[in-house]
Amino acid sequence: MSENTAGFYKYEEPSLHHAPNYVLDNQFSLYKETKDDHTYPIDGWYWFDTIEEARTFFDISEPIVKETETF
Amino acid sequence: MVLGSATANSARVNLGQAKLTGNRWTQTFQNCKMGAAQLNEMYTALAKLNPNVTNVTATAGVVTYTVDDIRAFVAARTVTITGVTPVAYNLTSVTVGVVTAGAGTTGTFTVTNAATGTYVSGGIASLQDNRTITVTGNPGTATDDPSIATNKGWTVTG
Repeated sequence: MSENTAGFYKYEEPSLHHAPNYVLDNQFSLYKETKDDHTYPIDGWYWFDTIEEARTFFDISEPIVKETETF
Repeated sequence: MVLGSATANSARVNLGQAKLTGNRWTQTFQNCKMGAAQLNEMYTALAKLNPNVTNVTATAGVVTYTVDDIRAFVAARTVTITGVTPVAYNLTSVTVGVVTAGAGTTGTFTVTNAATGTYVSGGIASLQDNRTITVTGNPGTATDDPSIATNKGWTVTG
């Protein structure tokens, strides 16, 4: 069974941010349960059902750099 | 530094180190076995990305803003300034120039702009990019308080 990669995505070169459940900001809140209630983009965030769709949309051909630093 | 296989105690020790480098821009604390208390501690350690402006001066096309938390400011980041009186100092999506640390967390940053005037009051300097903190996969996300971070201008994702 393939991995579920649905979620909110934002591309901020060189990072493709992925939030499978929620995005919280002081200006907005996005939850997967209400993903269809919004008009995207919201501060650069979009919903995609797969990471491949996100890659195609953001025209990312190289392997994804998830974040700038990981702890 | 790896927290992925850390125990609660060792994660707490490592988290103390993370505070030193994890408070300026985009960070991932994914699958770190962090509880709510540890997440809240991390959120508390973050620098403000939207510090208050406490003074503005201008000389020869360079505007200098004094803020109450300069820690997240580095040259070339993008900042938007709002709420300053006089309004000439409210600038959108401008580039941070020289950053100088002051006492405590205070400091100044410069912007190249022709605005002039005597500072009266107010202002928030909001950094625009690299504001994401990812906490996916931590057990504490069910009961943590991400508003500690979002109130400081961060975007928390899980």
